[in-house]
Amino acid sequence: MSEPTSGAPGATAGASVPAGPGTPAPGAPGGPAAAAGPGPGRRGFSAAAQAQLQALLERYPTREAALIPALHIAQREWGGWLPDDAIAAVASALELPVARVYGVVTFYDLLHQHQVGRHRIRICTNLPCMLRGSDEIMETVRQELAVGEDEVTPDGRCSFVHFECLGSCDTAPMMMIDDTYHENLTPERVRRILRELE
Amino acid sequence: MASRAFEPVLTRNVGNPAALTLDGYRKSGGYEGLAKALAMEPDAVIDEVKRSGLRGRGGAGFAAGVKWSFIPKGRDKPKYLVCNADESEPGTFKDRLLMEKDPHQLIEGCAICCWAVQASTTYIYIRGEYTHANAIMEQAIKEAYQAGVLGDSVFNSGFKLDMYMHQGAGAYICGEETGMIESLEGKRGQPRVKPPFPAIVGAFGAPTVINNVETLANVPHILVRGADWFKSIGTDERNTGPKLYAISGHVERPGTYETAIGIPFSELLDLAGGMYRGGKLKAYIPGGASAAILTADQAGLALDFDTMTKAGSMLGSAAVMVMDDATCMVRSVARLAKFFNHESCGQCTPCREGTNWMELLLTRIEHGEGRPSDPQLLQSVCKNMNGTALCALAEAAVGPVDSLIKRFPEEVERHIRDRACPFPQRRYFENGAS
Amino acid sequence: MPKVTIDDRTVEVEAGTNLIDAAFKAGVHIPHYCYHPRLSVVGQCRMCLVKVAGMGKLQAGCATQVMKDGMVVHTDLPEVKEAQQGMMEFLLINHPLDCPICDQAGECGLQDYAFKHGVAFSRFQFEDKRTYPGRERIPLGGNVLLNMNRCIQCTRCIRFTEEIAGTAELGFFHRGARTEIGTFPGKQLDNQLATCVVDICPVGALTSTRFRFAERVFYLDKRPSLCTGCEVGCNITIEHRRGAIKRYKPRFNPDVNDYWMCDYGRATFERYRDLPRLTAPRLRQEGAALGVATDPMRPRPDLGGTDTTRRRRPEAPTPVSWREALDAVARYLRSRSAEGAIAFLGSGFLTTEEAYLFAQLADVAGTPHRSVAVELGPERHIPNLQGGVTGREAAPNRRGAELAGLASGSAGDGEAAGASLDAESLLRGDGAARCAVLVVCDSDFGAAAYDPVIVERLRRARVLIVFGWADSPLAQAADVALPVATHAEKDGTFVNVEWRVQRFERAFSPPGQARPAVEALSELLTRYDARWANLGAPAVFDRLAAELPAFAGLSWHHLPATGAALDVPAARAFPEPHLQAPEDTAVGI
Repeated sequence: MSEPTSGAPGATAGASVPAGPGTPAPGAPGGPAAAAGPGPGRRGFSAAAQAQLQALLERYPTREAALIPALHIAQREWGGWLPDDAIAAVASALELPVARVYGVVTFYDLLHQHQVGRHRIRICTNLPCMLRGSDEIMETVRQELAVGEDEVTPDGRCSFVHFECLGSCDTAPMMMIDDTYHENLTPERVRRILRELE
Repeated sequence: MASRAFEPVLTRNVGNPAALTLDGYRKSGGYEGLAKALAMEPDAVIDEVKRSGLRGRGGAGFAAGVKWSFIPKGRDKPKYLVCNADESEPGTFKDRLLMEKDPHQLIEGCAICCWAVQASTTYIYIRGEYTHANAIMEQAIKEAYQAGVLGDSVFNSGFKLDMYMHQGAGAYICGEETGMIESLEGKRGQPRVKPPFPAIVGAFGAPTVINNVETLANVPHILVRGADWFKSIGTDERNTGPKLYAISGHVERPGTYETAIGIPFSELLDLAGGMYRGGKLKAYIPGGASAAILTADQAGLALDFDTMTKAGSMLGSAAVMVMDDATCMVRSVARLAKFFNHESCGQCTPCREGTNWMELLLTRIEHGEGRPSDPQLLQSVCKNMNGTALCALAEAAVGPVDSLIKRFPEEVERHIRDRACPFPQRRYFENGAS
Repeated sequence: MPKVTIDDRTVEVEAGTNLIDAAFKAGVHIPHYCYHPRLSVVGQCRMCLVKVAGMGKLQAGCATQVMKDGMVVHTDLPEVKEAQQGMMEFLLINHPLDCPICDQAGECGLQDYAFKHGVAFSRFQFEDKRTYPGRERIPLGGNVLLNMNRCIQCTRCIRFTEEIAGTAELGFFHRGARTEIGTFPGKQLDNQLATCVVDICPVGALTSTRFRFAERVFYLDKRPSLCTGCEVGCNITIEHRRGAIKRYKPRFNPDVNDYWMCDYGRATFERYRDLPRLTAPRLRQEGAALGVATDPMRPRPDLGGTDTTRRRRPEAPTPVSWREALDAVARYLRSRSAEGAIAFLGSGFLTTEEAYLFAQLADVAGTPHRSVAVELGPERHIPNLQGGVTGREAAPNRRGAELAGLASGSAGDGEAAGASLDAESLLRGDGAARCAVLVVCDSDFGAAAYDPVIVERLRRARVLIVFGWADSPLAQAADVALPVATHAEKDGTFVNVEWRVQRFERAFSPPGQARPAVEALSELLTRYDARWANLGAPAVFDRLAAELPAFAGLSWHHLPATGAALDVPAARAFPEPHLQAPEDTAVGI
């Protein structure tokens, strides 16, 4: 595969962050299976993201410590996942070896190296949720979305995975969609929630 | 000693949305503890917390005041407080409650700790999934800066304190203190070899205190009401203070309940409305996924550190998971084994390979492909993982598996002998998935 | 210094020494994988767990230091042995049974410790081994191949690229049982020391592409030697099977290359394998075809002309005995001085002893023209604890050759252009045309012996005498071609870029009639002075050490194993290193 680019030129001077071409227009190219929003192929951070990164760097004594928060920002910029050029852009901005950044990205469950749906569904299946029917919730989601675990629906809308304890065992079974917890689920509620996702 | 009519301490502001704001928090007595601490010598604050007997609420139960006293004295070098808000232990959700409902209580506890050890920066390492709690904490911190509770001169005392939220990215092992430091520093959350201990070489090479959210939430109350008051609550002088119990599983009203530490399990179960749909208690795990499983005949045990240890288990994070008699224990432990396998960082041999092997073994047994030699093999694997790994995750993984073989040998035997799980497929919902 | 007791043996060590190193000093081997004396301590493999009296849990030896007196350590208790067995079992459950096809067999950390510390049966019977589909033969750069199934996740390779090479191409990806090592997609290992990760990998996860399937290591004879790739002079082990070199590996020398060597150096033996060898002396008879007198004392009709075509001898050289060949050389040296200059051209590949005898020969031949040719290559830097050693000259011993009496390859400013017949004028100018006799010794000066332009220039000498190991175009153009040994086939010394003289000895005999050049040169010299008879390299070294101030006080048999720093003004720029003797480990250092 070709060498990934690392954002726009002039990326590593001082404390600055590589400039991007600005926020791209919605509806990225790529066909029906592509996630909407920036998507792969964008070349750098938006101005807003740059400002966020700048503020981040002031919180820590080392540039490296800003890595995970920076990756969260980059993931949002790149449409919910981190293609290789996003990883290279972050590595360049923080002056870190790219292999090390890749190692960090692949270590954590909330950072994705392959495409996800516009809505990322995480269903807790750990013991307390299992004791309250999480298996049936998983099954409901699987049937409703008609794709397998970690696959993206053809319209790019959703992808789902089982997940470990999300810290909401008192409202089991539950799931997390994007940044929101959906608690006290029943199969009926699940179907309703999924149908309302855009 | 625990009473049902317990005057809430840590959860006193739950249900009072006004307390989410700094003014509202102050009106309910908030930030008095910090003011009091700033008028004391830092070492005097440490002594008070030591005297209170406060033990860590994150799982290890180490005396908080003693931990603070390990930090080298003086202000010439940077020092850090890292608040462990990673809360990924299965069955635990109490820290989330504290952050979402009473953010300033945590901020105050952190600030007092920083004054006591003369640290100038706090990072609250919050798990990445807690986006709502993170937003609430960020807002509260912002208010605190505006009101001079944080910043260049806390309450005009000249003491400089910065506080930042730092989001994780989804890894249970980042709840281990050196795993957390590695993650904070922007690396893979792989625990470090100890010694050196974080109190000497912690975040960014500097002395660092790491305390759980609930632990720190206790600190303002210790300052305001005194160590003696704190000690008067609980079982004995080694198990003091109020405690949050997060109870889940087969109970009618799962939730977080605050009582004096040491409530007997059976009483806690009552508080939670008794067994789910009137079922019969089979077993309970008192303190998170790594605590040994206790059986129904042990329901009268007090849920404090020492009683649990004596019973062969642990209080840990006080995440109480309840199982009724329609529950397959093999299946439950297999699910925990899967969890530990997924969460092992992969650095060291016994944990990386051992948690993997345990999941494979238990899954085989669960699905009726167990062999007669498996129970002994499982115990042998447990033995090889115990005390040999780089951090405590391997031992944690051993906990439930070891207790399964020891306390439920017949259930394991039945799976092997009958080549099937004896418990029927359980449906919780009528319409189910169809 | 504190004392520590390990298995009832007490040793004194520096405060801060870890238990693995302390045990080594006590003669006890604590098994380990992830620990390496030059890499950061990570305490991951858990193979080095030992019992420290007074501590409940077993402690990792690599991460436990001796700070004060009184520490008591046990490696032989049942508890420790059970832990070792446990760790071995864990490592083997997901390890493929690749031994029959794996290059590491015979020098494999898993094999060795499984045999010594493991059990002879597997309990992993009904589960599937974890594999990394598609990651069984991933090239990481041109010289290193990764088979991720075999990896034991010790992270030595990752730490090497970060801490020693400084290039950080390798990382640890994913988590838990899925953890793997690799490069960022699309990137390669891109540093001079890349193959060192193969050395330090305890298992066959990282293997050398150049050595792949080349030989079973238990058939290899291993002899200490030096690399000839450049002036750094890395210490190596020549690993060969009956004279066919299969591999170079670095040999520990804390004063020069530490544990490392570069990829280029590793490949330099391949020339010995791939280039045709000169195995018999060859002599071109002065024949009648050109009407040239066979009596060497009679002047030739075209004397004084520069017409090279008329001086070319069309007769092909034929194999002769050494005696005949040396006779011819002596004859040419004696008889041709009236026809023009005699020039001696050496190379940076000459040993100090060869260069010394070569200069002596130039003396008795009565010529001042003796120089050494050396090419420059890319800069090579080998790290060590003193900041590392850097070399640019693509030959091991230009300095030794110059100290032994050969002049530098190009004239200084003071020399009139064209007046000197040094390497520069011979190789790149027209100097050879002014030579009646040109003697080239050890024609291994890189590509020059294969460069038709250079061969043609050197051939302009009336008589061309070549000592070389390769049957190069230069040797073929020579009037007398004398087959000599490669450095693997002789004894000698080289002086490296930091003016350190290092000794090496032959690994095997030269083929055919090739002989060490020292023998041939001393035989030649014997014809002038019997005191040169029957000298081997050791005796020659002792002679030159007695004569040359730079080598004062040294003798062959007492040269330290890590070499000796020479006392020359230029050498005073390099501080004398002071390091303890090496610790060796069982695993692939």
